[in-house]
Parts: sequence; C-alpha cells; structure tokens
Amino acid sequence: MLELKNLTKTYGHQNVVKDVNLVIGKGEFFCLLGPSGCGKTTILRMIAGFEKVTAGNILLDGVDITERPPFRRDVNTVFQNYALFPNFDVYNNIAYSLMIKKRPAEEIADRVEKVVRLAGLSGFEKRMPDQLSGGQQQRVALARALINEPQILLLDEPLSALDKKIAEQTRMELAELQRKVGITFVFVTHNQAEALALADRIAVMNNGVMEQCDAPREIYEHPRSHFVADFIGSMNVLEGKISDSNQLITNIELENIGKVRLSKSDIQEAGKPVIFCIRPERMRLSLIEPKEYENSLKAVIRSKVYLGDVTHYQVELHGGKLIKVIAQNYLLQLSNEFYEIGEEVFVNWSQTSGELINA
Amino acid sequence: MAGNISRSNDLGIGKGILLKIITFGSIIFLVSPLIILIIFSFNSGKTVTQWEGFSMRWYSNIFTDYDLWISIRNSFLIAIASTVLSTILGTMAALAVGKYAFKGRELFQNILYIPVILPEIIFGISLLALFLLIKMPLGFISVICAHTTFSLSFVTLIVLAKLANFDKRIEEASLDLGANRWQTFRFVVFPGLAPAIISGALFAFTLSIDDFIVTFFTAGVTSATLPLKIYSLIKYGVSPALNAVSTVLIIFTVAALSISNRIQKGAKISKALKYIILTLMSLILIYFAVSFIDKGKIKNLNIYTYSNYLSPAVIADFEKEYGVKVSMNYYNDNEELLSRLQMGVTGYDLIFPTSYITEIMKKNGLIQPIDTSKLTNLHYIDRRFRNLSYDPTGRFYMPYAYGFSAVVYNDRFITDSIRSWNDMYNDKYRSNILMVDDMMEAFFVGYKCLGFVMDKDEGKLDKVTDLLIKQKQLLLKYENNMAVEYMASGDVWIAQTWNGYIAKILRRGPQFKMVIPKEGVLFFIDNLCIPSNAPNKEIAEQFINFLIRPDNTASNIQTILYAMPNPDAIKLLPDSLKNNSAIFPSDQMIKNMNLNKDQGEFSKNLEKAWTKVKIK
Repeated sequence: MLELKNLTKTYGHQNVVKDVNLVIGKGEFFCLLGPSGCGKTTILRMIAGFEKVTAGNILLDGVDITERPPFRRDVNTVFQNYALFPNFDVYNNIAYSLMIKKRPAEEIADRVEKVVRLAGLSGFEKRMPDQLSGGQQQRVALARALINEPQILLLDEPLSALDKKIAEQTRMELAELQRKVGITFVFVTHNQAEALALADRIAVMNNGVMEQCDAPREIYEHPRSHFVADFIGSMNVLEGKISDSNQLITNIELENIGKVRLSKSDIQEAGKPVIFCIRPERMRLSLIEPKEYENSLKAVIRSKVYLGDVTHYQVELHGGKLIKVIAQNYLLQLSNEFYEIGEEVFVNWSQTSGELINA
Repeated sequence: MAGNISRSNDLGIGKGILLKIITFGSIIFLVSPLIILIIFSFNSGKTVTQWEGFSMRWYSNIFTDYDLWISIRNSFLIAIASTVLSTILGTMAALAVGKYAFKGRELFQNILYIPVILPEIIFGISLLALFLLIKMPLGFISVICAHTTFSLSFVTLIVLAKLANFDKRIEEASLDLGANRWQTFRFVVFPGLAPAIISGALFAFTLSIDDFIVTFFTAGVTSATLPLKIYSLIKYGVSPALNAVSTVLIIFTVAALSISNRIQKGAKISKALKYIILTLMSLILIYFAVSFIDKGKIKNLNIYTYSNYLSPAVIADFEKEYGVKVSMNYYNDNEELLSRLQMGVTGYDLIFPTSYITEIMKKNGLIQPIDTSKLTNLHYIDRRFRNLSYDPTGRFYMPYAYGFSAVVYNDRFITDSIRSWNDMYNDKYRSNILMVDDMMEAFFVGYKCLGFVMDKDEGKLDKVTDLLIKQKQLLLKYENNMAVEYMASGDVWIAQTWNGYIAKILRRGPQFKMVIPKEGVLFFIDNLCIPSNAPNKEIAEQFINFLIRPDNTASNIQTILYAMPNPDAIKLLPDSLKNNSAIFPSDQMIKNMNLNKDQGEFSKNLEKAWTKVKIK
C-alpha cells in the first residue's frame, strides 16, 4: 500500500538516498534502521512531504503522492523532539488537525477524549507542553498524529530522547498501540534493539542504499552484507576462501588462521573469496580439544570484561587476529571453567553456526 | 534554574571590591543625570542649577503650550505609522532571510544591517539627498519613510534572532497535521514569533519617538517632532520646561521598553496587547483633541524661526483675524537655517535670518523682495534700520529684532573696573569667564582687543588668532545659551553674552552689572525675509505687516526681551522696560553700530582660524 519506487535524493552532488525500492503493507510495523547519515530520516521526510524527491515516486494506495504538499497526504508524523506547539495546551495540540479541518466542536471533544485515553494522558489536557515530562510529551505527539487516523504513521526516532528505562517501557506500549489501532507504522531508528523488538520487517540502510530488507530474525541470523553483519549485534568477521563445497558441507580456508567447516546446503564455487561471520555468543571457550563435528581454533585470552550475566573475552587467533567471544557466566560456573588473561584456549563452535557473505 | 547554578560558583568571581565600585560608579553616572533632570523639572525657579522650591508650573506650562502639543502629535503620528510599516516589513524581511534560501540572501541580509552600522547623520543626509532628488516633498511621508527604513532593520534583527531559535519541526508538524502554509503561519509561526515582533515594534516605536538626527534632515515644515522642538527650545537656555518635557518623554520611553522586556521574558501577550491598545487609544484621543483646535483653518503660513521668538498671543491674534493656520518650525542657529535652505528644503513662508546671513541669502537667490506697497504699517519702522549695508535696496528684508553682545559681571567676585574688552581677560578670573560660541563674535572681540580693523590681512588674522587662543585658556567655556544659569550659580563671574540674556541676568540682583566696552559692541539684526520658493508669499506679507503694528511689536518685545526698531511700539511698553539700557541701546550706539558682514572668500580663512582656536 505504501510503495517507494526508485526513490532518490541528492543534495548538490551528494547522493543521500540512492534508488530505494520498497513496498510496505497495510498494518505493518516497518523499521528503517541505520547509522546517522544513512538516509533513513530523509526517506521518512520524503514520505511526509518535507523534502522534495529528486527522482522516483511515492505511491500511497496506488496513488502517486510524490508532488503533494505535506498537508495533502494521509500521513502523519511523530517527530524526534516531538515538535509540540508551545503556544497550545495538550488538548489543543491534539485537537489541532481537527481544528484545521473545522470539525464541529463536539466531534473534536469526542475524538480528543478518545485518543487522550488511548495515550494515557487523561487529566493532562490543560497542561502546556513545557510542563510535561519527556514521556508525556511523546504521548502527546503520538496522540496528535493518531487523531487523524492516517493511513501511515511516521515515527522519527521517537524513543531516542527518553531515558533508557522509559524508552523500553514506551517501546512495549508502542507495539501494543500499533496492534490496537492497526495503522501502518514506519519507524526510523538507529537503535537495533528497538528495531528488532518492534518491527515486522526491518530495512537496513547504509550510505543511502538499502542493504537488506527482511524480518528481524532473518536480519540477525542471515545478514546478507558485510555492513548488515557488522551493524546488527556484534559479529566476528573473518576473511577467507572457499576450499571446496558440496550439498552438505562447505570448507573454508581462513587467511592466516586455519580451516573451518560450515554445514550449508548451497554450493559455493571453490576458490571464491568470502567472509565468514560468526556471532560471539555462538562460540565457546574450552581447554579440551574439540569434538570432531565442531570447528576449533587455538587462541590466547587477551582481555576479559565481566558484565554480570555474561563475560566478554577478547582472544587472539593464530596470525594475530582478535575476535570476541561471549560466555554465559552461569555456564562457566557450572563447568567451573574460568579463563585468565594469557591463558591458551580452544575456541569452538558448531558447524551449523556462521554465515558466508560474498567478499 | 540554570542561571542560578551557573552564577553560584566557588571561583570567587564577581566578589572583588573593585568590581563593585566600577559597577556602582557606572550605574550612578548612568542614572544620576536623569534623576537630576527629573528633580529640576519640579523646580519653581527658572534655572536648572538652583533649587527654588517645588512646583508643577512647568508641567502646566507644557500642557498649555500649543506648539508643543502639535510636535507631540507629530511625533506620535510618525512613530505609529513608521512602527506599523517597519514591523510588517521587518517581519517579512526576517522571515525571508531566516527561512528561505534565495539568490542574494547574504547581500540582502547585509543591506539590512546598514542602518544599524551607518552613522545616523550620514543616513539622514543620504535620505535627504534622495528625497530632494526624487522631488518628494519633505513632510510626514518623508519622515515616516525615513523612520521606517532604520526601524525596519532593528525589527528584522530582533525577529531574526527569535527565528533562529524557532524549531523548524514545529512548522513541519503543523503542515503534517493538515494546515496549509498560511494556517501554519497564523497558528504556529506567528504566535511563536509574536513576542519578538511586539518587542521589535515597541523598539521601533521608541526609536522613532526619540530620533533627532534623521528627523532633522527629513522633516518638512509641518512635521516637526518633539525632539526637534526640544532642540529648538535650547536656544533660550535650558529651562525647567525642557526638563518637564524630557521627563514625560523618559517616562514614556521607559514604559515602552519595559513592556517590551516583559514580553520578551514571556509575559502574557494578551496583557501586553491591552497596554498597547490603551496607549494607542489615548494617542488617538490626543490627536483628535489637537485636530479639533486646528479645525476650520484652511490658509497656511509656515514660519521657520527660533523657538520663543514670537509672542504666541500675536500669532493667535493673527490666526483669528486672518483665518490663517500658522505652523511653527524651529532652527537653532543661522547656519542651520542657511544650510537647510541651500539643501533645497522648501515650504517655508517666513524666515528670520541675521544680517550677514541675509546678505548671503540674497546673493544666492534664496530670498525674494517683499512687496512693501502692501505694508500699510511700514511707516512705523525706524528709518535707521531700513536700507542697511547688507541690502541697500531695503526690499529683501524687514528688520524684526536687534541686539548686541556686551559684558556682564558679578561685583561680588570682580572689584576691578571693567571698561574694555581687554579687561575681561584677567588671570584672576581664570575659569570663571564665559564667551559666546560664535565665530564672528569671537573675532570681533579679538580684533577690538588688538585695536585692529577687520580687513582681509592675514598677518592681522594670525595675531588675532593667537590672542584668542591665549584668551581661551582663561575661559570656563564657549557657550551660547547658559549664561543666565552660569551667572546665577556663581560659576561664571564675567561673561560676554547677548543683551537679552544680560537683561535677564540683571533682574536677578544688583550685584550684576552690564558694561558696554569702550571699543564698541557687535550688533545683530534679525530680519523677516520671504524665501524665494515660499508657497504663501501674500500671507507672509500680511503677517509681516501685522508684526510691525506697534501693539504687536510691543507684545513681541515683552516676550523676547530684545529691542525692535519701532519707536511707537516702545512707547507702549511699561517704563521698566522702556528705560532698560540692557534692552535698548543708546542712540549713540545705534549710530556707531557694528554689523557682521559676509566676509566672502575671507570667511574660509576665518573658519580655519576659528577651528584652530576651538581645538587648542
């Protein structure tokens, strides 16, 4: 229902958004994720109508809205800093769009009351925006944007200005709210945890290019580019070449490190340079030689950081390459295995873990 | 909160005794002159240096001074019009510069700063040049245009500052919620900028009310403002009436600025609007009240003269008898009059140039002959004052008042006998001597002291210049209008000043003595002249004829305390005045009258020499 076709934006000679194609379905909670300057906010602003589109089209329910001014789009926005009207109280902030549409007073009162309740703002109607906490302001911004029942609600980093605790709580409320109202949410964030927690689908942006668009689980488990692998969670990235590959097993020769084996059904061409990615929590430290169905590399502990639930180890592989290993502390306690800096260990992992990305 | 935190530090900054002294010293210097000014506006005496008791008389004086009210009305009309215009235009300019990128934006913004940076006098002169070039008549419109131009910059700067802090997203939020650009401006941008716009408007208003320099250059005959009027009043010394007017002006300005401050600090705008509307209403009331008095007069006469140089009663009688509306405009000295006429300012029907200025004006075609056949009262004029050297035809001027400068001293301080100009410059009187601040007067005294005749000899001029420089070391200062106050307070023991002032000084006690130095004194004759481009020549002639009627002349003499060449008028005066030697010089003195002459090319040498004296 929202369709971006070859969407491109340039400032001078700088391409901020490059040829993005995307279809977002009705009722979907869609996330644009990426570091700052990746073009995600620019896409949002083009959808809202605040930025002129350099090339490409935006279609809403099949209707081209590329050239329409913001006030002629059935799209509303929750701004990063909420952008509440400082000269209006909460009630009038929320009622603003209905007032502009010159709806009858009773209708406005009815509808405002409804969203005020939905947003949990009852009793705050007469407050001015500067008398509200960040979380309350955020709810006003939401209520103000939702009262119109737009086809699409755009949210520009709505949680980034909140304390971590409140942000997490609001995150849950946001997800619940979206289910309740059933409006399509397009959510922009640089925070992968938010994206993973909330989104039905995530589009990962980098340098104006959409790197991957998939469900959170796919993005996390099967990153399809070096950037996505690196950006989502933490990832050990090792360069190498395919030694041989068949329907069951692919052998990879890692540069200066050694051989690893991956159970994957797709056949790779021998000799092809690849990147082998593996998440630190999928690896395990051990003093004992590994089982044969496991991958194993010799390593030396270089640093360790105790974090309560987990311990982060940095280990040096053969050839000097440093990788990260995360160990669950309770497992370490169970096996009574604690590793000290300088200790020689084995880094082991299952042959089913890891991903190959084209170099 | 933030302010408190940042101020209460432990660095000991702001605790030094020196800083306190400097701070209080600055505040005292800033405020005390104003306090003194306000206190002396309630002085029952006529001076601004000696307290003689509490009185509201100066306030009642100014409230009955019709000319003053006209100038107040003009000031407010101009201020309101220029405020409205500059606020609208300035806000628009700020929005353009602050919100949109367009070609030449930087240049446009820099141009907006020009009136802020440029010296006001240059700005005034250039506006005058423009108005004359495009043949725009000087009057309300020209002053309003001028005030709008410089106020606009200030409004723009203030609004721009606010706009820089204005969150653009709020505007976007409004557009996003379905408001179009106009609705967004009305409901969101304008309320956000309103404090800045209102305080900009108040700022523009005070700038306009207070402005002197630009107004001076761009005002026409009917648009003199309050500051121009105050300036012209100085000619007759700083009287408590001036203090009273200034006090009113100060109160008004402070009120406007404090409202502006409160608005910027976020006071409720509706409250401020109430104040503003109230002020506007009272101003409109004043306007109608004043206009009501004006009603029914169609014929105009525009007089350009010194302030208080005509009896208001005489003017009122003339207005009644001839059905003419007389407008008064004031200049402070001959040079000002001459320069304005030479710049091409038009609209004046009657001017009062002094003898040698009359000569220059005649030479430059700035004045026209008076039709003496219409002057039925011509025969009252003392023949000795017609056909004088500066206009032997006697057609270009009618003598109005005359006087001379002489010496006055206080015998409590000075016991020596004073007979000559040279006697003034005694080292014993160092720093208690006053002389008038006038080039021709100074050189007249200098030449007389050395026994020279003023010819075009440069050697003599050099000697006279050296003498003047030597004399200057003994003076308190050169000063035209404060002789009465200085003599009364005892700061000055001996002064060279005009006989009108001497008459006022002599009234203050027997200790004051006048001396006509034996070398002679310099006379001045102020004439009635009609500018070449006078719009109402015939009415001007009627007025001249009216003025030289003995009863009117007598009334004017009593007002200004200067002699007028009208023997029948003098007969009508009370004895005390008639026989006052400080007002009426002897026949012998009139016979040997020294008059300033236009020195032609030599005046450049004189001016150079005078500058040398003044800077030493």
